[in-house]
Amino acid sequence: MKLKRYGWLMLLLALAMVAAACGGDSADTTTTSGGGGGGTATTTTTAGGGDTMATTTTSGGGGGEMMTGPGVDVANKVIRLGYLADLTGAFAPLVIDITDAQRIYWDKVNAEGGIADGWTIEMVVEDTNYNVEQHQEKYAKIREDVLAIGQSTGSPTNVATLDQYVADDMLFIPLSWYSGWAIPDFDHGLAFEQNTNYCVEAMDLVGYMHDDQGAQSIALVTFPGDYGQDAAAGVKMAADYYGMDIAYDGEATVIPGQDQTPVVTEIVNSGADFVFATTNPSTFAEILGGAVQGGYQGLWTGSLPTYDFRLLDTPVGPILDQAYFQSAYSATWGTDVAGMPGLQEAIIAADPERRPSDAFIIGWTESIAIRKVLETAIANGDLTRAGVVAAANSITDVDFDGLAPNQSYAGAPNDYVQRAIAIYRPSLDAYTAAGAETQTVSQDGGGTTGSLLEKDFFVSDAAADFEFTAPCYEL
Amino acid sequence: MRGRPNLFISYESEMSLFPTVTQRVGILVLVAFAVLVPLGAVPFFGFLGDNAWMVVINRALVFAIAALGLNLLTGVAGQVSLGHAFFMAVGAYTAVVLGGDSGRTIWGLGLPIWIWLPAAGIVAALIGTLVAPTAVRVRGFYLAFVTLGLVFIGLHLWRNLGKIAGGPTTGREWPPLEFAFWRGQSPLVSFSTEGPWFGINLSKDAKTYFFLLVVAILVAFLAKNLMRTRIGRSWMSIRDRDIAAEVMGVDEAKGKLQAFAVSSFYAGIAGALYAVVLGRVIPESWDLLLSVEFIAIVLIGGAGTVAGTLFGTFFVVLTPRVVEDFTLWLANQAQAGGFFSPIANLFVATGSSDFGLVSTGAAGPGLSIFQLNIVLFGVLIIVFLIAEPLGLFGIWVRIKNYWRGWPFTY
Repeated sequence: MKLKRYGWLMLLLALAMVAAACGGDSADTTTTSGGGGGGTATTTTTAGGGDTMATTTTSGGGGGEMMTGPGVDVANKVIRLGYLADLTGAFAPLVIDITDAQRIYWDKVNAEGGIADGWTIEMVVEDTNYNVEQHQEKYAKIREDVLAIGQSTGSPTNVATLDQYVADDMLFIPLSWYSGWAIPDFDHGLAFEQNTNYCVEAMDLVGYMHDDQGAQSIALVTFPGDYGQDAAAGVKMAADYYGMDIAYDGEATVIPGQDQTPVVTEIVNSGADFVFATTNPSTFAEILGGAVQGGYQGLWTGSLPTYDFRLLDTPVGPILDQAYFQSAYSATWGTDVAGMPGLQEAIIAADPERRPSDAFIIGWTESIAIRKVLETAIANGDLTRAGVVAAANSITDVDFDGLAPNQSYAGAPNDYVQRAIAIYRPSLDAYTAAGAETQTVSQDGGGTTGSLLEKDFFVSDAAADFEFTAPCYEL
Repeated sequence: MRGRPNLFISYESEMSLFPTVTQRVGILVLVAFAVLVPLGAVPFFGFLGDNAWMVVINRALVFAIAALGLNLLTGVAGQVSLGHAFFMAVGAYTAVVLGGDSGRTIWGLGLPIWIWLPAAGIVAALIGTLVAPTAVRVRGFYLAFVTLGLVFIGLHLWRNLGKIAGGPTTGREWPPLEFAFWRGQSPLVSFSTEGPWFGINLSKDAKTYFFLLVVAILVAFLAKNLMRTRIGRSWMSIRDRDIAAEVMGVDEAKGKLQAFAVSSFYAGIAGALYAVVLGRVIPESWDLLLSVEFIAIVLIGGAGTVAGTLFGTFFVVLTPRVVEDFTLWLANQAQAGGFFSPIANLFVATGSSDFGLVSTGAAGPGLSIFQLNIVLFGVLIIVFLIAEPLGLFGIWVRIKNYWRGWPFTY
């Protein structure tokens, strides 16, 4: 009985804390959206939240008139960017590195005095668990508080949330390289796509295998859906272009978690010069190991997300070292380019015990790109969402300091779509010599992911001649 | 005589849906509360009217519909089913094939909601009746395993039936929530676009909320009503002792069939609404975890009662959000310093070198909030099974009884 009475007391205490937490949350919402002084009572946001979407014009902040909207705190010169990141789901290992690189980038920029004339960036990070439902709920949670979405993980998640982005006129960087993101009919000009896309990438890879490795026949194995079939479309167009033979067409035949034996058998029987795979790393390792065991002796390549340097820790490491050609949209960790030392220093300073990762560079370059957008919008005196979208669709020649090829976003997709990739080869020796799994970014030489540059950024003939006017694969 | 609990002077009054005045008033207050929520007009709970909360509450309403269905099957008729996600998927895909747009790679007839919504329930119910005979042959664990198999068969089908489900990992789009007489006509009422209703400007989530609220109230009444009919009583007798029920003349096979059909009907409707509200669902969504969530709802809420199921749903769906807000609030407290600061510091890790059970950063050492929620659920289910088998409903009944006898409670 006594215990029970304490139980109620505890429950009451817990409830009080929870109520305080919820109340605190809503008070936050008022201050951030209104920008006014601390409202502690419950908010009276109308159902639509329509009022907070209104744009206001304020003078101050750079002398001229600055139009601002949600996500901008003029008084303190703070811009809030949303990050809908998969921190616990299927792509968490990759996305955690990307998101941390973005955080480290903005911390550095803020510490150095911010962008333009002293604006600082605040990240609002939400975990989406690579789940459509969570993505939408988290977006609804932050939409009134952010100016743009600095990173939004996944294809199905972004496609499902696209309607809401359109309703809010919200610029977002999709962490998904589907070719449709470059097409205004599909994304309403809101997806601020980075790097190339799966379709063009596939053309470049096939071009490389044809021109530099003398390959004539392809075994194609991909996941179904936007990722696998976008790449498959690119492979087929390039094969057509070069007159190559598709010895096995396994478009959309690889389903994660299912038995891969039929696919493996087809690869072995095809006797193709190389295999083009568009899967995830674990499925790829399964197929690679199976086919080599079955006697397949050709070369291997695949879309960027197919490979992960952590595969070098597994039994397929030696095969990757021998036969894999790795695609890259941006430089890998430690590659000798102008922007690399600055990036490495910042990451070492922030987290010296961190394992090296190529994903840091993706997060870093995405931040550089959106910084350019914000600077342009500030220069235009228009920090509203519409202003940010207009800025994003007007900038040209964003310079990534060699970390990625320069990129433009103005004009028609065919004029500006990024067509360049680089080719790397995994080196098990280099990776093991640096300490394999035990590496840290602060060790001598900075560690390595084992990727050695084979061919610097190039555009294949097939990709260069490709008229890009519609998504390669229609969703 | 009036106002005395458990004293009924006629059969009608004992059997009525809400036998006491308190209950009737309570229901009215609840409905008024529910209507005012999206307007942000409820004192102290105004924040629930934010879109951020409306989205979560909408999911809770959809889950409530599905959970009511599972409650009829598992809680009332005693048939454990792990296949609820499968029946939801059947409903969702029926809805999208009938109501969705067709494309080069997908089927869709573009029919209006008054066709696809009932059809979603009916098709799911038909498939439910096909499964029901196995429930006559096996029970308990074995039935759970049979229905578990359904989820995996379903997952295989949805991944491979591209014309119906869209591709794996991409899925397809569901029709918007709007009412039109026939395809191609502009909708008479749209529940999925922002705009004014009766002079009040409402967000799309608020409109969706009202639609879901009406459906949820309807099916909740249906469930409550069903439980006091001959069919409902036959289900309960099968649950309590199937052999005894048969001896008394209850047709066990028929009862189980009905239970499966009705439960699947609920699941079908809920599945269709779930997908329509989300807009796009990938085939992988209809997995075991979804089924388990409903089992958790029924167990935590209290098996066999409508009110318990509703408690359970809101508890299970809203708790993660509350835990999340709470953890973030604790993290703020830990950093700001203050009354709760020492406790908060123990619990939350804010940086990569900070100690704590939960980390709020992207790559902290502790559990992520998502993992914390999963752990919490496991613990909650165990605690409820051991300490309060009647679930939240049981706690509610005890509170009620305490006040009923007040001030002579002992």
